[in-house]
Amino acid sequence: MQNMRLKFLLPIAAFVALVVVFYNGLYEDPTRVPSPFIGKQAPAFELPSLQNPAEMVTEETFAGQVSLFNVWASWCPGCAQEHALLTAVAAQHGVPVYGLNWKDERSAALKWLQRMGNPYKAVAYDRENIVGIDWGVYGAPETFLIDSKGVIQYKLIGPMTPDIWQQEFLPRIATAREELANGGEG
Amino acid sequence: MGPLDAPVDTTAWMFLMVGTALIHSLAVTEKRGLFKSSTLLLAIGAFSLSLLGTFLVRSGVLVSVHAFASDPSRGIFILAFLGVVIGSSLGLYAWRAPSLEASVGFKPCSRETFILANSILLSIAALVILGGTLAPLIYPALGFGTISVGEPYFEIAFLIPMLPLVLLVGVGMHTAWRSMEPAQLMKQLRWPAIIAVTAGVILPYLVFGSFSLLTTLGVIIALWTICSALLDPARKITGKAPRLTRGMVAMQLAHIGLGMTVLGITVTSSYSVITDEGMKPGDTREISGYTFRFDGVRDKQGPNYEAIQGLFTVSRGEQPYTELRPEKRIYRVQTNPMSEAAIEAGWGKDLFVALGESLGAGAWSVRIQHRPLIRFIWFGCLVMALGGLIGVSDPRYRKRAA
Repeated sequence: MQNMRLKFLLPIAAFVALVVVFYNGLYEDPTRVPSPFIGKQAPAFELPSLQNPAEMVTEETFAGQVSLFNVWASWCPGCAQEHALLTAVAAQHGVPVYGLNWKDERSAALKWLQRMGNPYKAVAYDRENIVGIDWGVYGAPETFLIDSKGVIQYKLIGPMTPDIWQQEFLPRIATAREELANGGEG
Repeated sequence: MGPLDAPVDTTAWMFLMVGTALIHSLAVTEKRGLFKSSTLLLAIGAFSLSLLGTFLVRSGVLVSVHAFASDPSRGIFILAFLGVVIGSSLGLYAWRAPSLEASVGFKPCSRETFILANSILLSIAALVILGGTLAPLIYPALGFGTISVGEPYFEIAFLIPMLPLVLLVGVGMHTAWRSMEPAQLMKQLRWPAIIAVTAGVILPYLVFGSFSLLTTLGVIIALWTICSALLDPARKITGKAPRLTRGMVAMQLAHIGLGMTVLGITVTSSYSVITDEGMKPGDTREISGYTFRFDGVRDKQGPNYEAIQGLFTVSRGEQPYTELRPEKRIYRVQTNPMSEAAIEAGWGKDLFVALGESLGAGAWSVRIQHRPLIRFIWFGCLVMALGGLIGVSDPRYRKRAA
């Protein structure tokens, strides 16, 4: 008789297990596929600057320092959402931010920077998604953390949040800077 | 056919499977007072799956092309709703269902057995699809890393329970409640079986000129289901069977529809011809007896797009058959080029032409497809739905409680 009852409890037990999996799944971003670029040298590129088409932006532009490379577009609501935070943290921690203006119109992008403020030291203009493909970009915004040797240390897909900045970026920035300092001495 | 979108399409499939099992199990509960607890579980399952679909798609927990936003707070709300509704139903089930068991018996060769097999096979199919759909969630939870599950899994996992199921449908339809002599059953089913096997072996070869084991098997199973469903109406016409009740007609129609869908799927997937080739104006291609002539392209202005329209003349033998005008559109707002295929739909086949890329000097890459019996897939579903409609109109469901 006890066995009989157990049989009828099975469905609800399975359901409870599923709910637990779902609950955990809600906080895991399904689009977060580990980037194959992490720990690798950033792909080389050469693109005209957004503000000044005659000037070229390359991976050399951010060499020798710990920097952020932020993929954005004027049509992207997530980019507007993270903009203030990105500007603030970059200023507060002295991390230079470089931009990749992605699949965008030059005039719209410039207007956006004028309206929102420009935290970028330089912006590469990638209308045709040339660098986007090389760097494995699959949606804006995305933020790469690149160390002084040009190695990609971290990649964030989606808007920056204070938590992500605290937990994912700050410790890695500290480590990368330490290495830079030690490397400089030795 | 479009790519399969795991959470959306597969949840719909699971719902269909469990719903179908429910309809059949319900008949046993109604007529014989058996399977009460499994009918109840299937009913809860079918409803739960419709809620699960909402959760999987709208919460952003799985990647779907139909997901609007990955918003955890919306997900939490749907999950809480799911927990309360399904949790309380299953709790009630665990508490009360043990008292529902009946002790009426039935023999192995009886309608009860076949409906039980139907419920089991459909539930297995649904669980296998559920497993594939949720694997991207369960894998990381168990620490196996990320995974994505694609169409090959779903196709094979689906086919394994479905093949025996469709095979059994033809037999199950003619079984009696409680018990039946196997010899009598075999005698009844002799003719449908002979017709299905003979036609299934000969017809594909005659019509399409080629032969493969899996295709033959698919066609035989489809014809077997249709012939078996037509057995009682045929006997009625020859005066050998009693009156057909509305419920019987409903069942026969639904099963004919099932056979048609299986036939459509088998023939389309086995005999479709798809070619991708570069064509210059004046070039012709012959596909499955149809000749496609490319007469060049022209510009076209749409209301909100500009298009390049390809001109194709299709003829069959010497007879002109139709003209097809596929387009390559560029919408003014969203500048990605879209390919607008031209489709000539017919009872027996669809012809399909789409423009690819310009190859220069007036030449284009062109995709041409001939898809035989593809409409049977949808038409079979319509026939099944018609059967369902006739079924629910049965007066026996309109009886007032005394």
